[in-house]
Amino acid sequence: MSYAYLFKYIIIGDTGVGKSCLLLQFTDKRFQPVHDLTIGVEFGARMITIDGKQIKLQIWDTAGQESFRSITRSYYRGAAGALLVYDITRRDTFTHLTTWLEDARQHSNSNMVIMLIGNKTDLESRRDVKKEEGEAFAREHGLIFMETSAKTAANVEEAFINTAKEIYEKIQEGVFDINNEANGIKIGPQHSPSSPHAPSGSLGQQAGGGCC
Amino acid sequence: MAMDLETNSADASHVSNKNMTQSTAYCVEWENLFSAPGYYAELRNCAIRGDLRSCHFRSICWKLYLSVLPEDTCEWQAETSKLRSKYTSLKKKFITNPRQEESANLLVNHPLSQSENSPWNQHFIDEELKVTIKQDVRRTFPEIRFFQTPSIQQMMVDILFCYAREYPNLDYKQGMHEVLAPLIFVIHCDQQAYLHARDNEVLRDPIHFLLDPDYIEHDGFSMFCEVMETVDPWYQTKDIFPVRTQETSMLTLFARIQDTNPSNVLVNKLNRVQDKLLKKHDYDLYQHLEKMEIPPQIYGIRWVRLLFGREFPMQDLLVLWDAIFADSMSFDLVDHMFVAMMIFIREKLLRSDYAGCLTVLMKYPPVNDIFYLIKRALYLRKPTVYPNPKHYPGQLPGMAQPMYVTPSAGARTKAAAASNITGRAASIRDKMAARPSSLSLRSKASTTKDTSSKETSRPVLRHPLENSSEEVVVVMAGAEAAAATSLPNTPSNPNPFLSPANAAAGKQARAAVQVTTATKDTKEMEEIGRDLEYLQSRLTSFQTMCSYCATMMDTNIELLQQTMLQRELPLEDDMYIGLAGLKQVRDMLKGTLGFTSSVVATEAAPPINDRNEGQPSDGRRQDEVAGDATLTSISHGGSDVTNDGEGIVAADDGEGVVATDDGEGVVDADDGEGMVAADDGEGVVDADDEEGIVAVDDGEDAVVAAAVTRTLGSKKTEADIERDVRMPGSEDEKGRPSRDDGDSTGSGSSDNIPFDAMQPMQTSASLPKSACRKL
Repeated sequence: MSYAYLFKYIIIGDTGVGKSCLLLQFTDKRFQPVHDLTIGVEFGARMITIDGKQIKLQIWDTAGQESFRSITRSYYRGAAGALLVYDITRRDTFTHLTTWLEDARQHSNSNMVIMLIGNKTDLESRRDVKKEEGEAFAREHGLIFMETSAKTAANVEEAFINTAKEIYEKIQEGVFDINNEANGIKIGPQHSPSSPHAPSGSLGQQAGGGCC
Repeated sequence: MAMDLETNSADASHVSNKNMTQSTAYCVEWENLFSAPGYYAELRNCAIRGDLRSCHFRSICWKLYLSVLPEDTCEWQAETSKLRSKYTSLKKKFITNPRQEESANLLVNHPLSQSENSPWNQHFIDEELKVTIKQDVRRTFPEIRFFQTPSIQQMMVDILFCYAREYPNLDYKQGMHEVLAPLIFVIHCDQQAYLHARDNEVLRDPIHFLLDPDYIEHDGFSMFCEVMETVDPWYQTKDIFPVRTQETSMLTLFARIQDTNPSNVLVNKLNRVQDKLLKKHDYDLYQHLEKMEIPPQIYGIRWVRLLFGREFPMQDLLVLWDAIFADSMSFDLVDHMFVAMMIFIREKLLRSDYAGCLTVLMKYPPVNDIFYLIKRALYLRKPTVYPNPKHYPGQLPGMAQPMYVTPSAGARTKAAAASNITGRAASIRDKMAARPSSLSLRSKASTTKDTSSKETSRPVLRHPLENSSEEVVVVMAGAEAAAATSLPNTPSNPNPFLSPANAAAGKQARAAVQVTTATKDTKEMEEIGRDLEYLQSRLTSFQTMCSYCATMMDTNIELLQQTMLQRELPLEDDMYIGLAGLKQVRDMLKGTLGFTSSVVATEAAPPINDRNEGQPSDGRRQDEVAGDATLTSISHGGSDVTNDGEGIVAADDGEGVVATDDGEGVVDADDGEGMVAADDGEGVVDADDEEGIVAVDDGEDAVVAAAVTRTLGSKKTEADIERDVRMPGSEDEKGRPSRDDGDSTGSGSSDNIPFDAMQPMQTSASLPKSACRKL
């Protein structure tokens, strides 16, 4: 299937916060209460539409445990967007965010869009981290923020799509150099005359001096 | 410890299987496995042959392979109790309760103490570790009920915790729980069998001792430690940074991801497997993955760390671990298994883009016969010792997605009749193939995995009689060619019938062996070995390609033919001749029709008659035999299918399959040395002339069968056919076992056509003369 852009995402966060479940909900629209533990990385893909354009998301879902960190780090580099996930019922996953963020910032390109996600809102009764705390953290570090539930699917679509929108806007603003694949963005293979709005060289040139 | 066995299909059938086989069988099995002097070598072979599938002492076997138990059976009890008490003391040492500490020093021993010596300090660290482990253990094989049992989960946590404390350098790493799980599972199954046998038989002492259910945790720990001893480096996470010299830093500009990023032992291992082994055995696939920039670490880390635990259902996994453990303590088979698995899905990978490749690699498609992959891995490693496993229908997963168009309502009966030919032949062959049947548990076990891999559903033409089971081995439309070549050679036959490609491989192997023994020059030997392996891998890929092409041609020819049957077409005869030509090409690709230089050179003579014992006029004979059926074309020595009146007439003379669909049914006749199967009227007529099986089932019209069968002409029912199929050669005049047509041609003419068959076909030149003559 043809697409205008391809965005690469990475999902990071502590083990057991629901990274794989978010991905499964987004790509397959289903929820698995007990999900296999992610060993290394997993992969998922889905097409979305933004501003009338087909955008393909390639999503790398990473293992949460420290022991995989050296491997998962290599996926940061080629990512345009990152979903940084914590579990609203486990405070430790929230307190570890700083480490994750440092890691991500250090190994990714500076324009990577990071979406902070507080997952498991279906477990409201066991909530351990207030929504306001998440918002404050996001504000402080310049992230977008959402609370989601991979179980009920609440806000899952939005989390992935809003991240894509942000990336898309950055492209429009010329912040991303879309000709550099290391930024995690690729122009689609098709540029048929039938889609005159499809981004072409002009955008790329315009963006040329923007980064890196 | 009440295990919920009934709800777990794996457990349930395991146990019920045992119920049937026990009287004194349990003890006998023990004796057979462990009593003979020098039993150990045979025990290893057992595992490598896949014979431990239903073994009741698998855990004992594994303990032997893993050196948990010494070879000397007399030492078993002593060694076991030593290991058990070691675990008991470890557990006592590490799993403590500071409240019960005897230390009276309340300055140190209180929860808020800052002292490093405080037992509470360690206690809090431990609790954290336990929480981490527990979190993962809860997610162990979610689809297997056994692992959701709280007591089992607690046991796993304790084992992993003790291991992490005992080996602090490695600590606990995600994935270890899935290495431990199958070990526990196997011990548990053996203990269940033991408990059952104990009620029925008088057992020997070591059995009581070794399979004592009170020690599942202790024994699990011992085995886990041994497995980890080998697997340990693959879990090490210490970064190894690539050394940067001036030269390499220049190269990094063009380097691959896997070469520039920090790596670890496992990543290096995976790169080595891809760069050395895969490159050697399947260069095209290697290049494809390079082009796609898919480093092996993406999928390989999971494959190897879990010893393929996520790639196969549990029962298949156990068979694989049998082989891996028995093969060597260093689990060397893993590397070649890796390559075998890659080659198995090569067609899918080669056809896919980046995302497609990743999807296949991350969700390995279901495998019908795990043992096939093991054999392939063994063969890849030592082609001179282990034979090249033959293809089977599952060989090309999803690759032959036949462009099968649902026939219109009127065409349906004909389509069914046509598929009867292939379907019935396939079903007969399937029965004859006697492939090690995949486990009874497979269906349930694999469905859980299947649900997650939707892409595996492929359009299938199933035989109408055998599609009741969900787990029917999928036979792709026209993929009987593959099935045909997979038939095992009966041991009584001194002259194995090789398919053309196999014959070539065998020939080369022989040649190589001769050369090597003559020169005894090790260098040269290595070189030849490498060349040989390379050639064989190329050969394998050619074989795969040929059988794929044959399958596709088959499907499309059938489609064309069915369409043509629908209407009266002008110049119809020419079209059928054209079709017959295509079919000949197909049969050459399949290997059922030999390809010799004479096919190309001689336009006038029928292509292959060398095995037909001088009966070139068989074509006409067939025609007469078929009575009112008008044959439109006959292919000598190959197989052919044509439309006759309302049905289809197919005659494979000489050495192939002859299939005739006459009237409303199907007639399959294999003359000479093959199988003759004929479905006439409403029944089935199977006639194997001269040396093969003669089987006739003609339902209500019992006439035609006798006419077709020249020598034996006995009439049989469907049940008889089945029996014959199970006992090949029972009707055999000359005492030769009956065999599959695909193999039979190979023996005759294939020796001199190894690579030629891959050359472009000259269709017009090779069109059978008889077909033209008839028309």
